[in-house]
Amino acid sequence: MKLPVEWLREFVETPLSDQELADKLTMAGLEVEEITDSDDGPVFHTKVTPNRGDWLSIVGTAREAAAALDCPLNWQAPMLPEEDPDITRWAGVLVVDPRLCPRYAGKVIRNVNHAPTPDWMQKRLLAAGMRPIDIVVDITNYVMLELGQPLHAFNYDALPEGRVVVRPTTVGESIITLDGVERALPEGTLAICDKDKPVCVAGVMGNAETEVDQTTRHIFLEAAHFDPISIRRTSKLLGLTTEASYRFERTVDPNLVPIALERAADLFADLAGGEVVLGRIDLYPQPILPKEIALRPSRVNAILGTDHSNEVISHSLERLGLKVAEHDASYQVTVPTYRSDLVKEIDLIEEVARMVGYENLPETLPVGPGAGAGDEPWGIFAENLRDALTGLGLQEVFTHTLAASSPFDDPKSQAQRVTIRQALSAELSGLRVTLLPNVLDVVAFNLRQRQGDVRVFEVGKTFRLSSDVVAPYLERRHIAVALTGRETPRDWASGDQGAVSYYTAKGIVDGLLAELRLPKAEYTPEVVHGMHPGRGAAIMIDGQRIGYVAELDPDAVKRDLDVPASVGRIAVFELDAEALLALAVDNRRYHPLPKYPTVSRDLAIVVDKAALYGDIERIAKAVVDRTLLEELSVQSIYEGDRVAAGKKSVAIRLTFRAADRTLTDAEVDAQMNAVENSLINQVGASKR
Amino acid sequence: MTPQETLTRVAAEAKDALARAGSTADIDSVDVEYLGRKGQLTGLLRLVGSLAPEERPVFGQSVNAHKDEITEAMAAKRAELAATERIARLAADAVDVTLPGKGHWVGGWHPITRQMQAVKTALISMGYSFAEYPDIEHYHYNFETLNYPPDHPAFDEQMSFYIDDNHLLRTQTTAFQAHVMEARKPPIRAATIGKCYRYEAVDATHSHTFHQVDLLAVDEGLTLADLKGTFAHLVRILFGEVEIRFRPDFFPFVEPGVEVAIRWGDRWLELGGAGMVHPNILESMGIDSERYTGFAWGLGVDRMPMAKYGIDDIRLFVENDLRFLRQF
Repeated sequence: MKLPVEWLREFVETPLSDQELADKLTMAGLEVEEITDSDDGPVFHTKVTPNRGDWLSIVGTAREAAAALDCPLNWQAPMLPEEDPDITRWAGVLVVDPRLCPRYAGKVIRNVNHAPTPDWMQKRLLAAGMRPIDIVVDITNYVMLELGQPLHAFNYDALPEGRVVVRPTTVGESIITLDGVERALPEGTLAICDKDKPVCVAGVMGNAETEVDQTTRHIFLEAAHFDPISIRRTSKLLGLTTEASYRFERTVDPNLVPIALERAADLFADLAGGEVVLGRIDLYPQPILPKEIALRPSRVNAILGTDHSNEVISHSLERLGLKVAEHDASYQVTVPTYRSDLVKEIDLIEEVARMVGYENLPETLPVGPGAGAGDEPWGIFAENLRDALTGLGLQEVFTHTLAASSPFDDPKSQAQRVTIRQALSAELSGLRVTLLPNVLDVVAFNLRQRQGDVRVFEVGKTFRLSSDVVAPYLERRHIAVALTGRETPRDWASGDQGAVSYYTAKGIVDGLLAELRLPKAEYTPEVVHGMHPGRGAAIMIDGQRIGYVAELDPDAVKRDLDVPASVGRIAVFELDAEALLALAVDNRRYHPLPKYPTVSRDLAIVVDKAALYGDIERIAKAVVDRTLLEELSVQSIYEGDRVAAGKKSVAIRLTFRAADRTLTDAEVDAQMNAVENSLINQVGASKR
Repeated sequence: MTPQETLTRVAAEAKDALARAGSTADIDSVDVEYLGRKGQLTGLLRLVGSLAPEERPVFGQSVNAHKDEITEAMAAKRAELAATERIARLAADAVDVTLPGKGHWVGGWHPITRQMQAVKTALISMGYSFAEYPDIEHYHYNFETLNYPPDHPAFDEQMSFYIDDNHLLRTQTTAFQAHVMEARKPPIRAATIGKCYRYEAVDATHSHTFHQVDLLAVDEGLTLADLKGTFAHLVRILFGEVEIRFRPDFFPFVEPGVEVAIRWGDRWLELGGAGMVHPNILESMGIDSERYTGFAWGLGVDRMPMAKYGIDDIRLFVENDLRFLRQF
């Protein structure tokens, strides 16, 4: 709320500077976000918390300031004029449902003259952020700003016989509000009606027909207390928030109703030549009474960790206008109706803390159990993952889980995409199904910034719909990596070492698994959406698919990624991190270091070009004595003039070692023969 | 010439040769020429036969004395030359040490995850256990269990992304509180960290997605002063000796409610909300709010590296420009 400081100071006298006063309010919980200048002098911009509707007025703020400063408030509820039956000759009100409208009051002012609004009032209104319109409207706004009670002025002549009915709407009713919009009113909307139809959405906005203008002679002035929840629902349903509804939602003191009404009537008489009809209508069948709350001073100190005396505690509450009566070791605290937020003992404890000042609280550390504190297995694993991937020379990126659909999303997965209801934009339309599309956006962004070598990873959640009614959404953590540019950094000694490829990404997968002490993966050819059909594989561990590694389809890169034309190969992988976590069981056992030497033998065979190395390795491993085989590695692949067309030469090296003896040539020869024969028979290999 | 004269001459020649040697290879030749098995000096011992028996021992001793003298001189000269040669050899092998080393890719954590890890490590050291909770949260956990009154203006501060009537993207990691208290009875020392979502226009200081660390302690005798001390301790670990500010604020799930801030430069940096767990929440979780009290906070993580490194635009964190990320 914007509060002209000079207006505020009318109700609280203090030698403090504006900044000091602002700091005082801020430290009491009413933050003054900034102080600006206006024609009416400095203006406080306060940030009112949703529980404190009473701060939405000058007097309410002054009351808080007076309490914080422990000084008197220069405002008292005025003596109200006597009731007078004369009013019933002019107006009548019927409230159909007092639960929605616990109090409704009205007054009639005749022959207002529409004099110009005095300069001082215009300045205050402007400084408080309201546009001066006309003396009638200005007075209602002024009183609302001053006291916090919204008022509504009706053109009396537009209300037949001055009669209004406060009732929930029935099916099909509508209203043209004074902003000129015709609004259908949902059934049950609380409305102020004439004998036939709604003329005002209660607590929100009036209609055009009963609006006060320059020709209005007589007015019916309304002050009411509405149920905050009802007003809030109406305001939400109509998508209409006004100064009035904003205040009603936050609860206005029901006892302000007649006070604000008479204050406005006085101003109409003084400033607009109005003739105030004697008496007022005030329907208040069940008065809302001050609350009584028990407070134990010992509990105050137990919650705050302080040792305040009873005097400090009771005085803190009295500063706020609460009444404290002592009963044995406990206090009976009477809470005025303007503090609807105070409900329980704990609320009063906060009031004591506020008045003593949070800045005066001691700082202590709790004693007690911290033993066994730690991170959950996923947290530890995620830390290891990030360390391993950064150790492999990858930069972590962090992207939004909210993301638009991407051409790199597998269309088959789109039925499982979790979408946001009534999304405002594509970027905010749903949650990512996989990590890769976001990571590719990062690659593309950096390529556009002329960062040619991009090696990035992300660890994070992906989301899918599930068919489980109890848990309809699945959240699963993934790892995604994308690489492009050079294989190794260019340096003066080595020159360019070539570009990244499928094998670069695969090497990182293997390195990651080794670093995490996970089992070795196997790779089987797989065509993945958006990926190069000849350069992609499923990654399998113990028969379980944990992800894939591939190069992007070069045509998809050109079509679907916003990258410079010079882009080279982009190699990627995406893994199910939670599957990895499940596999990361540390059951390592120590193996004694070898005592006997190894024997290595090379074997070069010629096979069809399409033959898979993985098959050769599998077949070889199947036939050798695994207790003797220490390592099987590929030495080289050759395709060219020295082998027949459509063929390739594969050189493998087998390294043997026995745990208990030095192997003889004969033993090793036997192994090699078996391997060779097997390869000849099973993959049609011929020896080179 | 008498054998003695020959000895004198050969010894003189040997010394002369040694003096002329310019390399360890020359020394080796001198060694072979004079002291080796077939060397000239060694060979003189064969002349012993031509001497009278009484002269023999004297001559033999004389030959050996010359040999010893020359051997010693040779060792000294060899060491001297070897040192010179070593210097020359390694000098020839020297490189330009100011040229750059060979390239390695260097990776790094993202500044946000790095900050989250630092917060985690600090709070674990203070006795809090971490776990993650769903981003897609049930309305019940995000609001109802947190003491939000129905249709309350407090909701206006948390414009939400709804997925269906009952589910939304959590607006606060505080949603973890009821999960924790459903699973465990006091004493509780729990914390979580993760993404939160609110409908906000994205600009330099706002994003629809942000990161929060929430903490929950429930025990006998916990006080607001304990909360203040705990916050001050975390801040010291993360930021060093900085001033903290505790100011009243309102959140439905705490009473008294606090806004916590730290002094950063010439202004207060608001880190989040905190307070004593509202007794309504403890009671709804079946925890006796007379016996137990609790404190809780939800702090924004994104602001921490922004303050620490002077980052003025929150969008840099999600843009993931490598030139930005490599600075951390």
